[in-house]
Amino acid sequence: MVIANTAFFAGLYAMLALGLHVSWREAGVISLAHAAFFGAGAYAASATLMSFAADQHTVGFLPFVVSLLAAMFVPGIVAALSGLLLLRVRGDYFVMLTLGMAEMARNLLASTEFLGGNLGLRGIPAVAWGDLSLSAGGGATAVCLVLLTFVYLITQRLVSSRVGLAFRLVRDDELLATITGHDAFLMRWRGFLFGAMVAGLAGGLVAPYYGYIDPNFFGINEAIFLLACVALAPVSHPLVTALAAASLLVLTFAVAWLPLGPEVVGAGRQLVIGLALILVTALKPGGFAVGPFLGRT
Amino acid sequence: MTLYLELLLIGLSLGSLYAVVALGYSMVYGVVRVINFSHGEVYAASAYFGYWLITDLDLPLIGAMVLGAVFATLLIFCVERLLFRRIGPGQRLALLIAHIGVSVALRAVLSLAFGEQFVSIRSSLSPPVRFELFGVPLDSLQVSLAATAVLMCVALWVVVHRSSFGRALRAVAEDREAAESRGFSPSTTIAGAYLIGAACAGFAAPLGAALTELTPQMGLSLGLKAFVASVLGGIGKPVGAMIAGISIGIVESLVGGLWGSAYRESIFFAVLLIALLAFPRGFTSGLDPRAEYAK
Repeated sequence: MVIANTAFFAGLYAMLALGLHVSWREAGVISLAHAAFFGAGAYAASATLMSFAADQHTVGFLPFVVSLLAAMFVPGIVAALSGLLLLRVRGDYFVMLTLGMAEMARNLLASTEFLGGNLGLRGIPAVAWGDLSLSAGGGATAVCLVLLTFVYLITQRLVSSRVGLAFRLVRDDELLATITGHDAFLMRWRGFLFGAMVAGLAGGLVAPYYGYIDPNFFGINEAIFLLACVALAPVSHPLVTALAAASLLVLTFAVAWLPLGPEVVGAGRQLVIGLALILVTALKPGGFAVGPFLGRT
Repeated sequence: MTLYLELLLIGLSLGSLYAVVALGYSMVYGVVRVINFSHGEVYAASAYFGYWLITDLDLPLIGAMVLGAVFATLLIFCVERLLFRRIGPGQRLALLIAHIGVSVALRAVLSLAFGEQFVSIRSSLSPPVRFELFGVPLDSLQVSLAATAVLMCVALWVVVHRSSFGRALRAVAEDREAAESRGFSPSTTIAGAYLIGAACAGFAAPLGAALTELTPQMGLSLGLKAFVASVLGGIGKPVGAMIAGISIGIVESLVGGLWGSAYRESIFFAVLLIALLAFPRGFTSGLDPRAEYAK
């Protein structure tokens, strides 16, 4: 059971990392709002499932698919609109703006009563069809891994295609990209959008898992964790990023397996994340050799 | 009318806190072009240090403030020496991530050491002098904080504009390579900027902590607002940071008091985002944070 749970989250965060990978490592858009899109997707999916459920407690395959579509659509719209505004600035400035936006989103979700307010959204119907159940357990893990494979294949194709080339060109040398006819702003916007939709998809998976979602989960800590997942990848390749994310996730889960008190676990995990970030920058400062706001290296 | 006045004065007090932290952000961002993410946590760590000094060692507030400055300076000295300095000038992304890592780790250490619940210093201090100004209750702590902010701002202005170190700061901020070729040492200047910023935060932290409650998460929201203040006030300009910090404090107080605290943070952030997008160079046209610097 512990293994299935860990595998589910490892797969989930690998998926999230792939989305951020395209946004950051490919298109050069470092977004701390990724966690907010994750949350928005979770809420959208939950609302969809609840509207299908009426009085039952379980919904089937078709409502689940619709909820996944909603989970991608809502963050997609938000990213599309906010991206138009935010992508006009770059560098650390953009990072802070996305951070502000993420905090704002979290605060909005925690304050909105009909979405459950600060206690979170409860009563999300379970999803099950045939023998498969998406509540916490092996079935959910299997579905997660299937979706992960799907996302990975798409990401891999994107990265190795001409679109991926265009992303990287815009990221590395915007002047050259513009001269050769690329719309730099549009490319970054697309990268941002892709990341947001993948994050939303992950949110759609997490909604039926526990049956409730807590808005405070999708805040700055989560955003930094996602950043760490992608930052820890020593090579800018989707597979490496996915593996790095999964490894970091397992490492933070391992903190919970140690014989420490439950109050300490949360801080312990944060400490692991912080130390991982510190180590990776101390030991390999050239490790992030690509990014729009580095000087000519 | 009294309500507005009360909100205004609360805002002034809150804003002084933001101003003090913003001064540190402003200093570092000017020379290094990296958001000093760890600054908020340095403040929080100093505040907890002050809390420990006052409640466990029974030190007076002023003693805690001085020792807080020393603590913060030492802390940032170690972090800068061991980590930030290792990251070369072209690696601003790595530096940002290093800052984030330090911030997360510090926050975790504070949480492990002191727990997540709020703690308060007030009970351990001798009660402050209370008085009334235009019918609004105030106490000496709030006035001290405002006075500290003003004094720090003046001191920093003098340092930046009238000292040789200030000249080095401005030179490195403007063009690192040219400054280096003229004999300024960028690494020493940068280290100095970190130290000064941390000393300011560390000095004010116990005082600020006496006015609010302490929680390990306080560094985050404070850091974000102070960063906005430093940008709005113009990077590298102490006076601007101070004015912007106080303005943000007043705006937050008014919004919270008039519209209730439920959506306060959301409205506040929305207003801030709009302000940042509209005035990226700040109200006093400091350095442009949007520009790419090839340093």
